[in-house]
Amino acid sequence: MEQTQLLKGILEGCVLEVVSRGETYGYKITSDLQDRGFGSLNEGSIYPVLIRLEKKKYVVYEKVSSPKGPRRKMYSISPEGKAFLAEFKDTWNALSQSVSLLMQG
Amino acid sequence: MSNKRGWEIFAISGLCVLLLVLYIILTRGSFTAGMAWVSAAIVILAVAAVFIQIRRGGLRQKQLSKLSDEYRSVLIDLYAMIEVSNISKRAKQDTRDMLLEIFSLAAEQERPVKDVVGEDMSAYLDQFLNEQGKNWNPAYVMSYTMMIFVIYLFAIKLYKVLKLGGITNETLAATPLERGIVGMYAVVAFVFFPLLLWMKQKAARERWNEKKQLLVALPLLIPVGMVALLMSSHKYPQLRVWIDRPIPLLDSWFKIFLGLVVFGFSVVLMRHSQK
Repeated sequence: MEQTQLLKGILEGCVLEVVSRGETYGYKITSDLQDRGFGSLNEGSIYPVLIRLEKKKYVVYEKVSSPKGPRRKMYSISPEGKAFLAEFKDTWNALSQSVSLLMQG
Repeated sequence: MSNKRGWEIFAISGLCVLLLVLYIILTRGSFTAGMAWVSAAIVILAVAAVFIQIRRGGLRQKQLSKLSDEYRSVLIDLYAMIEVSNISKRAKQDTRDMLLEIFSLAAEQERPVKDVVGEDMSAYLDQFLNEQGKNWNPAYVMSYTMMIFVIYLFAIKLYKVLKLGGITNETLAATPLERGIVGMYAVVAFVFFPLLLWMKQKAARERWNEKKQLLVALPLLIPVGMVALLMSSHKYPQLRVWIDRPIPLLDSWFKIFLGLVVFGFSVVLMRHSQK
């Protein structure tokens, strides 16, 4: 099974966790996630998630000049995003424990 | 300037000429000062549209100039697909900015372009478009075409009423819209425009080459055909009678109000369908 398919439901939480660690931008979020084992993800998966998070007001952004290329959107987490992330972590911890127990037989 | 931008400028100029020809035929040669103003307005609007296209092309070209040929070529095609999508203008700009950021940084790292977009460019872009709004949905097409139709009817009604002396109860009632004009506008709004949009989307998504892109001009046969029909209608008295038969549209304040309600509803539905 492809990692991307399995990740779809939890990608918002993962991206939000990266954003919660400090102001960042789409390309950097992708490479951070790739460095942490999410090798199958690319920008085409992450930027649309950022659009969704923006619409849900879980992230806010500021446009800053970039030395190379266009003005860059720098994202940071909003209070609503923090609340969602806390809820996501609780749900994920409970779910991952249950799945691990099940898989161990 | 890319060839695609050149094509858009050609299309705008062509439409302007067509509109003028249509207008002259509809007024049946009786050219007055008021008509001259309307013709001048059409030409000014077309020139402005061409100018905007050239300026946009220049700005984008400047942004893309730092990219390698391989990246630039793919990004130009992606921009063309964004241009003909139904998402809002702001969402289009947002998507273009995102892609430019990705491509600039990926090019800097010397990644092959296929590593970024994969094998299917359309599928890659759809991931963005689907989050930005519902791309090409029936509610959008219906509201967009209805809005165009209502604008056409109001424009011709305004022209007729002003020609008769001003907006009064009497002039509203005395300037019915003929079946020929309403029918032609209906065909242009509900058939020609959706078909043109669909062809442009298909051309962009399938990356048609320059020769095949000429097929996009095919829907223009519809208004051209209608112009030909109107031009030859004097030879067929029965057809002329049918074309000139009045339709009781926008001939009272209540009907004007209803027209405005339909227009407002179309705008709201169009905006909503883009979310």
